[in-house]
Amino acid sequence: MTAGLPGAGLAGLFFILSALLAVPIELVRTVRGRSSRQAWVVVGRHAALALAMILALELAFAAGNATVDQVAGERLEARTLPYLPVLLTFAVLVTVLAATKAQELALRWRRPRAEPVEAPRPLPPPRHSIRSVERRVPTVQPSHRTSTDARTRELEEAGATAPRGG
Amino acid sequence: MAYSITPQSRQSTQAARRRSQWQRAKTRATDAFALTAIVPAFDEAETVADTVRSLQDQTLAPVDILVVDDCSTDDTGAVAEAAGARVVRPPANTGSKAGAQTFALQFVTTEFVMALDADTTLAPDAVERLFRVFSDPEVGAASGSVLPRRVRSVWERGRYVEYLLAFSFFKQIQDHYGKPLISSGCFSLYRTEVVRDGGGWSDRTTAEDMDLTWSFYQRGWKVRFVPEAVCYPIEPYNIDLLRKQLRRWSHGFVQNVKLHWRGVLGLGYLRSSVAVAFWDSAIASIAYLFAIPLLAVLVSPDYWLAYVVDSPVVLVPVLVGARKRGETWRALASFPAYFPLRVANAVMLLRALVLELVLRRPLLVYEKGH
Repeated sequence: MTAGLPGAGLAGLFFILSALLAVPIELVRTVRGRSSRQAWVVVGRHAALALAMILALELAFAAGNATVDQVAGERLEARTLPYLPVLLTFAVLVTVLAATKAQELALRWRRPRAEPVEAPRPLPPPRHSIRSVERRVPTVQPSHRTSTDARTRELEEAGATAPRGG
Repeated sequence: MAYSITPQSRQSTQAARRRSQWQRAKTRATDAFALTAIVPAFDEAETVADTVRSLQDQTLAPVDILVVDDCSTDDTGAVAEAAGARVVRPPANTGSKAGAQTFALQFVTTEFVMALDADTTLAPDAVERLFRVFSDPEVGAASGSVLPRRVRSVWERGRYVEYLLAFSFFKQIQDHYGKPLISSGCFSLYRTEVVRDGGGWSDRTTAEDMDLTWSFYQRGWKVRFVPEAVCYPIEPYNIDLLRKQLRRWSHGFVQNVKLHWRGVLGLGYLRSSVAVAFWDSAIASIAYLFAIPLLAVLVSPDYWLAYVVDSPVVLVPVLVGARKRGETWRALASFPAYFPLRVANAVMLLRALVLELVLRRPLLVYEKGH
């Protein structure tokens, strides 16, 4: 679930499972000596939140059903989450994840070294003064020299023509 | 002799004091941390001064605040300059936030650069908290939590709940697996050379932040999410601004999936997140707009409950996030607004899917909303 995108359960299930799956993963990391107390705190917090979400859904269903039964004058029955929709959502999730994995393998098989996106074109080093477009406030002129400045100086000393404005 | 301070002189005194404090903070910061803040701005005279001030008030302040006055028709440049920022202006309007930020990149001489929207303010320790993750030399970008500065209208309230949900749970899980879906464009910090080597912020999609994040991953850089670093943008308060923002986000998401899908396929957890988000968005949109109403009318009115059936799942992380901030009642009062916003998201995403993938009519114009 990302802000601006609608969600209908698949993403919710995916992240709840991710939170729960982090526990055995962290356990393996602990056995291998690659875990830390801080990592366990984070994993524990996420897993607890995921369990609380499942519990809240379960309680809401139980409360909703009890209310409906009471209004209808029927005998109260203990009901839990309907398993079929949850299992169906889980099946869809597994299918989606498996399909993307298969797509990755197919792409790797067809083109061993696939170029992801066209190679980016690096920008030139910084220009320090373009009078035509820049208005400087004297108090905030940078007085420090950074690695970028050092690189520019090196280029200048080497005779390279760093682009300069105005 | 007693004399009174007029509001104007008090303001200028405060501004001078703030600038002086900023100068001292800059001097402290320069040794270990050289950061330039880029603030792209088009007609942001009302909000840009607050943004500049919140940068100056940081516990770890940027040494340079660069406001890109993208040929505004109001006093954005003058206001920013009066607040103490350095103002640059491109020869012509760049047409997008990405264009304005990339234009400013040529003036950046610091090791780190941050992008901050001109309608966004920061918690005083936001930059410092974000900067800590850069002790890992493999981290190329980092972003923090986002919360609306104003929570009044139904759309702002809906977004408030949506952000609490996303930043209290989902994004933290993504970060645990090392692949946050996006380093939010309204407030992110980057290694300057990494941004520059990638050609700056690209305007080939309408979601330049998602494009840059996924490009970073493909180039082997880590991206981190720091929930404690908080920024406060002004979110759309009416349907017109919301429509513009959602249009940009929805088209941007689809455009990025189209552009990066081959590269993303090899990135494990990100591949799964994107696949699930894409599938869920499409199916959720169809369910909200067609399947649920049809089933409710034709089969049983009980199906109307499908719109709110996941409320408990949403409410738990929202209340946990709100409680930490002492905003439990605000979150509870805002909760109903989440559902109309979700339907609005569905409408705009389905529209974007149809236009981008079926009709092949991509969104090419960057429409400024919030």
